[in-house]
Amino acid sequence: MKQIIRITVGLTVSCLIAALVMGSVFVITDKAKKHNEHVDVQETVLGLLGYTKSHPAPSDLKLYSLYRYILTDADTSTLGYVLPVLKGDGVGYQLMVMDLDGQFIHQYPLDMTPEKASEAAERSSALQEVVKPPKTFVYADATIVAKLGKKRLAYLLPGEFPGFKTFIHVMLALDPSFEILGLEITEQEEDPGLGAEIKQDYFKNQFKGKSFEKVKDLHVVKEPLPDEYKAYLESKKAKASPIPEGEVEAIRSRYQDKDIYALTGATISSKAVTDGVKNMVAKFAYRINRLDTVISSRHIPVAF
Amino acid sequence: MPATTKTNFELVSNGILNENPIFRLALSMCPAVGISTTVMNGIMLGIAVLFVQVFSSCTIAAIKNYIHPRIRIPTYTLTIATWVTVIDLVLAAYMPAAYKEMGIFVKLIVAFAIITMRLETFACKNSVPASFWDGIGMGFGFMFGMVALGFVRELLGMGTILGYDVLGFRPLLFFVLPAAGFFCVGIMMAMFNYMEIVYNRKRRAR
Amino acid sequence: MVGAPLLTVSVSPHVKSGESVEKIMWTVVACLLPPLILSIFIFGIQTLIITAISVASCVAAEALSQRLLHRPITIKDGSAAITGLLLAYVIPPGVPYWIPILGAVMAIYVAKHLLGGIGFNIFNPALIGRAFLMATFPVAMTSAWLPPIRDAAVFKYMGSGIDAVSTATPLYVLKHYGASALMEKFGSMSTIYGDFFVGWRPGCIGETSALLLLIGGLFLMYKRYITWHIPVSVIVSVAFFTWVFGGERLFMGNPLLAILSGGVFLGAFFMATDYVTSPSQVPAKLIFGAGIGALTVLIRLKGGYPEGVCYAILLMNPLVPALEGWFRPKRFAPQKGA
Repeated sequence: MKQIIRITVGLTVSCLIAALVMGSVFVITDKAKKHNEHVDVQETVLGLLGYTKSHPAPSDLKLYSLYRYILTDADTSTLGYVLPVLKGDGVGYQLMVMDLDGQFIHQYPLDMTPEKASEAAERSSALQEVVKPPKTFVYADATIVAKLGKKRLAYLLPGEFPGFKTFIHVMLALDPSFEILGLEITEQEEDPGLGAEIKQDYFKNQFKGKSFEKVKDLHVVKEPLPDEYKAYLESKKAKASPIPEGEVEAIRSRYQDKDIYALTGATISSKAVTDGVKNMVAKFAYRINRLDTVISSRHIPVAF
Repeated sequence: MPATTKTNFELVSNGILNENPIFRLALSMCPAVGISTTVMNGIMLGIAVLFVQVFSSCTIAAIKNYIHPRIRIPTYTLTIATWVTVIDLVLAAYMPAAYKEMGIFVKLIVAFAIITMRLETFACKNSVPASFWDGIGMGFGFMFGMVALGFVRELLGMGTILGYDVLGFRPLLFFVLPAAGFFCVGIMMAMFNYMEIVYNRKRRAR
Repeated sequence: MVGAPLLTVSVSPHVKSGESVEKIMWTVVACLLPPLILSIFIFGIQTLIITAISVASCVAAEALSQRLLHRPITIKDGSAAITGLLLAYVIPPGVPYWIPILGAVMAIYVAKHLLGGIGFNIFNPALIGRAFLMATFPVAMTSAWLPPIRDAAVFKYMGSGIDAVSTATPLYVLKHYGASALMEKFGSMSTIYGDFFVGWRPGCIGETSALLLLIGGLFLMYKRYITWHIPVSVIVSVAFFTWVFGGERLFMGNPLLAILSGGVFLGAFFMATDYVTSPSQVPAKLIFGAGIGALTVLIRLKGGYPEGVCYAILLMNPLVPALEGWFRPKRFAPQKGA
């Protein structure tokens, strides 16, 4: 009996100490970590749009985030979009509620600044003001709309889907006709050397330039990646491009409608990314079309 | 095993040669087979193991008198998990560039046999300084093994070293695949055994 | 004639008194030659060159590795030559000439001698060689198929690039494009059966002719070098499982096409019956063969590759000791302590 108590106490104490250490480190580092993640997202977004340090984004490039929530009232679910709207010179926010068939239900002004809107906790408290119990809301996803001047330049979709081991987090850039502008793997824990190669240029850049129609029917082929295509996919990284000037366009068009070449020894990861991207594009195209219909029919002065 | 009588230098070289985690102790074979596809992977995982091994060894050596023998394995696991989490969080917060490269490797380490085994056979019987040097030796031994494997596999499989094109073509794709991990570990283990035989023969002759 | 090393070759009961290992091995070689001669007429003279390179490098690798490992040199017993022949037989006819050399080194040095030497290897060396080549040169090993020559021009493909003439194997067509595409490419079903049975189809060098392999296999059975159990169980189970699962619905598959395409006959008669890597008890043999057949169909239908005989045999090889253990012959002597 004495032994059992000693063992229990020993285990409890060591767990508590471990929890204490991990918890305090988490508290100390959390802010810096969040900041890094925010910077990371910004960099990813700009990178996907083709802006680098040497080729910075023009000043009239604006990024607007809209957030989708699922509202539940007893048995019925509705969709709530937190939309940035034009308000004087600046940007305000509005909650627009529509049902699952895309019919407009209601809109509420939200008291938020863009800085606050990027914090999940701030959004929640603002939403609580207008969505009163018994109605509840759950965060679904976010979309970033990049606008250059008055024109929509791209949609940026952060997303996640199951990979070979854990969830793969990606950021996908689509142009207004839903052609893929680029794919960035933001977080993944696939096997280094095998599945983790999804973050390499020669895999992720294969998605670039795939049209909406092609993405609908995108497959993974277990064929070795042709050398010229690999050189093309990696040409961004290389300082001196090995491909002659005139041939780039030819290679691009030759492989534009090809399927995705699987990574050697990592077919499952390759397939997971391809299917995930396929899914994201299809769902997003459906949603944004509905959203745009409602916005234009209700004349909501959205910022994006 | 009584407390070690080896000098610090012997402790380090012991980890790298005599008791090399991969080739002599045959521990942590999963990463040795799965991840050793490139030199860079080997270095990254080696650094991560080095830190976690050293910190965990020192911690266990410091608190060894307070651990109830029945719960020593859970305590080791907790210690390793704590250090992995701490290193992961600190890297993410203050060294985002390094974290991008090393993040996945650090998280892999929790389940590494080599670390638990060193805590069980060494750190819980020795002083903090000895455990520190043992941890250094094991960490570098592991890194050496991973880099050696990565060198062979990257060169033969992709024709590159550290991502730089050395050969100009991809000689034997086989070496990138997991099966070649077993193959290379086996060949290297044989080489270590051969070295031991030669060494012993020389010593006897003397 | 019988040297000391021969005792280490095999403990299997096929070796009867009056038969030396050498005689058996060279008989197997003779039985394997007709498909090679036919393949020269089907694919051209380079199949002979590839086979010659493969055999020569296997024999050389055997001598070298036995030298290196301080073992007696046994190249005269013909086992290395058989490995070389079989390795060449499972290589597409259009590969570069250096490919079989690498395969031979892998097969003989690694798969045979590093795993214990003759009589102790767990896996069939020729198939390990092929698996290594498949993993290393996926392009050459899966696209260097040649269409059969109809005009007896044996020098037709000499020196021509693979890309210029490459075609697809029937199993590849079947897997990726379906049965109708197969008919379109190779003619009506009856011509397909006839051509495939004789060997007039794209495929690996020695696997195409079911007829000649069957004759060779039957001769080995007649000489009692092999028994019917493994070949029959492999072929029957491939046919059965294809019939059940191979079609659009259950029991709609085409068993005849399944056994005539790919390497089923070569595998069943000459690879799965390898003395060292197959069981010796009758029930174990039947299960071994049936397992090979089932795995072959599984790989063909659900796997990434169109053909699975090679991997099926390799997967069943390590089970042999277990199978032998389960079906140990009854002891007639009293049990210990009884």
